[in-house]
Parts: sequence; structure tokens; C-alpha cells
Amino acid sequence: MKKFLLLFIVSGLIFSASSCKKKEKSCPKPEVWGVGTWKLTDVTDANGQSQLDPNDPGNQCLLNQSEIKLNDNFNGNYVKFGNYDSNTGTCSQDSYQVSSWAENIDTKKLYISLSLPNGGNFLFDCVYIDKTHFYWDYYGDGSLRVVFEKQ
Amino acid sequence: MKKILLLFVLSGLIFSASSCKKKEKSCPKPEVWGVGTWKASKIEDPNGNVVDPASSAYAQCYVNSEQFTLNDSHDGAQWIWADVDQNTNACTPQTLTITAWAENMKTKRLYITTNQYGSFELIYTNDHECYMDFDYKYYYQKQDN
Repeated sequence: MKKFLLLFIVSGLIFSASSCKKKEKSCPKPEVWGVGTWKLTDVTDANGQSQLDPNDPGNQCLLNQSEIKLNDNFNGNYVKFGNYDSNTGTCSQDSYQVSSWAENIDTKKLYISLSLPNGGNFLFDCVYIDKTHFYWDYYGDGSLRVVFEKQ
Repeated sequence: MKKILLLFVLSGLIFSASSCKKKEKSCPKPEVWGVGTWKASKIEDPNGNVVDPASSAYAQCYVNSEQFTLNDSHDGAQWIWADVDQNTNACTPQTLTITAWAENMKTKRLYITTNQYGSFELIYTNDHECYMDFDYKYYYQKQDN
């Protein structure tokens, strides 16, 4: 009888331990869309109509050299914009450090805070279109959208 | 022998079910500091000195009227924004709608978008205090429920 009782308890503990280990692993991880490299692909109006002339060298520079990198640490990344010098005809990158970023999947908002060289901060206020596209709401009213695509 | 075997299996299942139910509840919930009402507490000048509300119509208006509320649904709450008429010094708070907000617990930042004036970045000093960092620092204290 004692052996049986012992077996009864031990079996329960073994089942419990092995089964619960699996359950612990199944805790949901918060969904994060922003981590990765994002390339500038278009500038549109509120209706999605492109405002870029791809033959314009300034626009080509913007399209080819602009990217945003966001990582798991939520700081220490960069935002780069292609900057065309019409006098010399050269394209270079203006680079800014990301001091912090955050997102809200419920409201589809992405916030990217940049450290400016003069010590100030600039806040990129962005809106997710879907998991792989967001736009920087240039005027804050959705009328001019700088669209980025995840690579 | 069959009965013992059946009992053996059943006991395991019962232990497993009752014990795991507790474990499921223990999944960590993301920490959220923003939800609640935040009231203006003080303004600090660039040297870290608190602006005396008695000597500044704006500071007085700010600590008396400015506050914002953030809710679980992350939108739709209000921001009462202090504004002072430069000619009369009259305090005329405006009500803004918060269209979205998010926070980053790693960098201790809070971001709020309003229907007017765009978006703002605030810095948490702890779970009950945050500030907007312009030339001057605009502090808010969270109100206890």
C-alpha cells in the first residue's frame, strides 16, 4: 500500500514537471515590427500618389541613400537621408543617431527620436501601413508621406 | 493491475492539470507606466532652478491646469494644455485629444500624439514622474488612483 501511494505521488510530480515545462515556454512574446533595416521607397500625398520624379537626380539620391536601422536595444541605431548637392552633382548621406524608439501596434504608431548634432532632439512621427511598410508623417496631418519598406 | 495502471495515469493527469493552471497565470505581463492621470508639477529652467509660479503667469497656469490622461486602449484620452494670453496673462487651458501613445521601458521614454501640436517625447524619471525636455523641463506627477 505504501509503495502504491509513493508511486501515485511520484507519477503526479513527473507528469506535472514535464508538462508544465512546455507551458512555460508558450508565454506570448510582445510583437515588435520595427526591428530591421528600412529603405525609403517613395514620397506620396494622402492618396498614395507619388510626389517623386525618379529621373530627378535629387530624388534618385534620396531613394538610393536613405535608410533607417532599428534594433532590439531600442537605441543606438541610425537614420540616414540621401542629400544631393546640385552644385557638385554629388550624393552624400546625412546621418543621425537614434536616441530612442518605440511603437504601438494597436494604434499603428512608430516613434523615432533622433539626437541632433547641436544637442537637440527631433521626433519622427511614423504610421505603420502594415508589418513591412510605414510612412513618416512629414507634416503630422498625413498629407505628405515619406514611405519606408522593410528589407 | 489494470486498475492500478489506470489510477497511475489519472493521478498524473490531475496533478498536471491543477499545477499547470497556476503556471499559465504566471506569464509576465509587459510593464506599463503610462496609464493614469498625470498632473503638471513644476517647471525647471536650464540651470535646474524651479520657476516660481508666483512670478510667472505661465508657470502658475501650468501647475494649476495642465494634465493628461492615458488609458489602456492607447488612444482617445485627453490632454488639458495650459495656454496664457500674452496681452492679458489670462490662463486659457485647451483640451487636446490624445490620438495615440506608446512607451519604451528600456530607454524610459513616453511618446504621445495629439490631434493638435503633433507628438511629444517625455522622459520617465521613475514610474510616477516624467518630464518634457525643451530648454526648460516641464514635469508631471502621476496621480494615485
